[in-house]
Amino acid sequence: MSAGQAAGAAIHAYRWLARGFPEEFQRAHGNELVALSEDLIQHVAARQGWRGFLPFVAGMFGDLIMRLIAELSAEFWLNVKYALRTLRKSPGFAAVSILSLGMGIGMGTSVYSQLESTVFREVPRVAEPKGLVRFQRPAGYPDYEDYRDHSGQFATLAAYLAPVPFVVNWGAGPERAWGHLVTADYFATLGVAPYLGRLIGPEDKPGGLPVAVLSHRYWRDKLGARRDIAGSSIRINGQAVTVIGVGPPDFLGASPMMAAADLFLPTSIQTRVAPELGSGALTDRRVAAFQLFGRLRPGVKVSEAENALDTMARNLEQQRNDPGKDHKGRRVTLLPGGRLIPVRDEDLPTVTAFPAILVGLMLWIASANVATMLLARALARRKEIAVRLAIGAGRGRILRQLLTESMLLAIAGGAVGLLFAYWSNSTTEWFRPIIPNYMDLQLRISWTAAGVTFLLSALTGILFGLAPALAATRSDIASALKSGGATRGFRWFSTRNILVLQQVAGSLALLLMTGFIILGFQRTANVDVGFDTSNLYTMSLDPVRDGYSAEQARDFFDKLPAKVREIDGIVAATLTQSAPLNLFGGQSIVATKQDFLDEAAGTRVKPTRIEHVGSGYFETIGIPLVAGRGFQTPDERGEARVVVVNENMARNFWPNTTAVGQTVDLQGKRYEVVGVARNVRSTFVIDEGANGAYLPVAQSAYATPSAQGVTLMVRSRPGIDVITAVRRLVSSQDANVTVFHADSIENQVRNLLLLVKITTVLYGAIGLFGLLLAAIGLAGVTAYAVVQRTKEIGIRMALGARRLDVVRLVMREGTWMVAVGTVFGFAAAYALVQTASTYLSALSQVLQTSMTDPLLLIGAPLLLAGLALAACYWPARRSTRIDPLAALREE
Amino acid sequence: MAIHLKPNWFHVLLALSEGDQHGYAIMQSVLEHTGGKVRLWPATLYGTLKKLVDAGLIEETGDRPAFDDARRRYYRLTPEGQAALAAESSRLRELVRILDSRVPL
Repeated sequence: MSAGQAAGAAIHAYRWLARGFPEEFQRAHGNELVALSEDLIQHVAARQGWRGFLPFVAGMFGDLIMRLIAELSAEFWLNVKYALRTLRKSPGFAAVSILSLGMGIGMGTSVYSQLESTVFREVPRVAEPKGLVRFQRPAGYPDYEDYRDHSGQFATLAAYLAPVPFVVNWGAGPERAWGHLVTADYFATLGVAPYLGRLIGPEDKPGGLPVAVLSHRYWRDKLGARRDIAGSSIRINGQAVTVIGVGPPDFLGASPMMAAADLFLPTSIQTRVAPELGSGALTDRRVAAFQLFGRLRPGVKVSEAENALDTMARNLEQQRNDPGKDHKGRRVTLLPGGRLIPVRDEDLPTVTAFPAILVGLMLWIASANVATMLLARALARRKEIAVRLAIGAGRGRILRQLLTESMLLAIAGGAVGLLFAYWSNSTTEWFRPIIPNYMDLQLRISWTAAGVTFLLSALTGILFGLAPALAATRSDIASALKSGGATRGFRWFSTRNILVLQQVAGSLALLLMTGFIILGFQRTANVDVGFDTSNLYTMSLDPVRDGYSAEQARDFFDKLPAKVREIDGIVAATLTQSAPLNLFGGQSIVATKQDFLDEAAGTRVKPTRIEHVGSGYFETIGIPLVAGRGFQTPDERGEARVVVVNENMARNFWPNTTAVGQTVDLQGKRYEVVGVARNVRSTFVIDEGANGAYLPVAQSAYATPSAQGVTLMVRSRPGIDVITAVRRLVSSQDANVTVFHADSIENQVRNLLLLVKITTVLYGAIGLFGLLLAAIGLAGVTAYAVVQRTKEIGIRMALGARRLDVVRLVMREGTWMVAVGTVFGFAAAYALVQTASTYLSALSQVLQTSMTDPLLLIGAPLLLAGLALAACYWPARRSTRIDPLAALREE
Repeated sequence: MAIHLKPNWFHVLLALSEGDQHGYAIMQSVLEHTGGKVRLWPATLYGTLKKLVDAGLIEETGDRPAFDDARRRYYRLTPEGQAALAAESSRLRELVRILDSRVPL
């Protein structure tokens, strides 16, 4: 190729690039610039050959590109200024667009961020989390050993007991903390490296010195981040234990979401330190208390291992003649062990479908709303655009101008969205007070999600900002100038109507789904608890973990209630294992689902909740006894097997006779009914109609208290600081005994309701958001329709149409849109509900609300229609103020 | 007049002070005046011309030679342009005078 030929190509490229200059520049100097450059390039190529040509052409192009950037960015800033001025002139439009885009982007980002921080997240600090599997159900320790040693499936298999409460004293007084009791291969299987010292391993054999590993956060927050901690001694459950190491930062055990651990003790530790390991926990197969996780041998598939383990479990059941050996169903199910929430890959869609649909709907509605408004605006701006075209603005210039406007909206929306996402992520903090062993999820904004949602809404803005601009700039200038916009009749399938239709439909679908949740939660919250919650307090004690022997504990609890009652202002006090209205922890309800056998009828009846309560329980809580008596001290000694049942159970079991004096078989033992108590609310989940039975707390229970300890419930006269008084009393008895989980029942109810409130506010906001946007969209479209039909309305009024006729005319279209949108909305909601059915059916059970609730099916569309029609009415009313003369004169 | 002229502007105004010229001629004239040191590449040249027109310092003139390329446009100084050039020239002269009196080169 000669320099001359190259010159031809260079000129071609130069011309092409020069077309990128703004029209204004091109008109002024474009031709001249290209002509001059062509001459120069040809001249240099002819005169100087390759040597001079190359640097010259490089200079030419460098110059051209620099100038292009300068001219275009100058125009861009002009566009931005102009766009800002335009948006300032219609603040309502700007605010609604930015807010709807912001809400859409924000919701999308925050929901995805939350999924990423929970469902998609792996257990922190674990090596190769994808290789970990966990057993879905806990197993007995001997079974664990069999699986580990004889199944041949695992490269390594570990087990742990969790959550385990410990009373820790490092010199500043006793305090409760949660931990895991772990087997020797726990840390090795997880692949966790120590931050300080060493972790628990095979060297920690039974009979050795008691040792413990601390979590990094516990070491940092409670032990002042002492670097010489390894080797020092602290007291755990009243026993001296040597701290051997600290785990890595953020590591809170193998299941931080379900049971975050701050302490790790080996299963080889003495039962003095960990009473949980007593009573056969390590020897009895029936005590299925251990969580199992491990890594499969290389080449073993999860499904293969699962089948092999299942077969093995069945064989073990046969060998030891287990009572459940002939049950059908899987014994062993393996789940991914490295995920924060053990969800299988194939189940992920189920978990994510519902939030994804909600967010998708919101984004959709938000985008549709902005699109509708941009379209309507572009039509209204046809005149402005026509004027600018007429006075010589280039089409590209106007397109870029409109694009800048859309982009500005998208960017502002993105900023609002990010703020919203930050705010909504911080709301998870609200849950902190109600979850005892809390793992800080450290919710972070997912930038992927933020980027994708932002791009999506920006694209919508561009698409719907540009499409009408293209149409407007292509239009016939003369006619646009004359009428300020074409007056066309109503068309069903105009872009605008389709947009509004699907917006109404989308809003309804969103409203139905959020309404379902809100209704459910409201119903849960509105159930009467069944007793007076004021001046009632609950506290937990666990002297065994404070270092007491069984005898000492029994002695302590024997005397405690009487001593508490002696405190001035205290009306009643009782010791109990379960207490009403618990959410996650505190004093748990022993919720054994037992099948009662009604011997008279010989039929199986509903499962029954069993609660173990002390004497004076009914008096203290204030549960009225409808018949018979409550428990007395002899009952606690187990002298007679007695039971108090609730009204539901009395009705279900003995519909025709009085319950008192009847007998019933519970957990294989026969009990005599001595009383009937009124139904009360026991748990967060409503259990109206559930059978409830109260058994007296056996004295032996005090020797081996549950993880939650023994609960002391106290009722006082108003205005008394019961918690301080009881603490003082207990510490005067023994300073080593800790009072924990001290709270008023009113506070617990408030915490419970907090969850309900948060949910209601959150879903309410989403539903309202959709509703408002649909209404605004409809109002906007109607308003523009009125503007466009000004002439028609003017003529009609001049010909004698009354105000009501005009309103009716304008409203008719809106009404049709709402009606058709409702039909589509139901169809959409139905389709979406099918997609998320697994999730929703689980939710239905908890919330006792169904998607076919009449309140929802009738209420939601009525609400939407009402608001939408009200939104239409506003522009319709304005249309009646059209002055016929002025309208006609405008032509 | 207190307009501070950018170097490119100054060169273009200086070239036009010798008479009306078209773009290519301005470019050549600047190149000659500066002994080949200042080359106004085409896009920069026309960018500068546009800015000078917008600022009212130069204008297009209808007068042109009879047989010339029709695409060429001719430019001339406006009175404001002349004033700006004069002001800038005397500013520069003053600078040079100061430099000459202080620094023996």
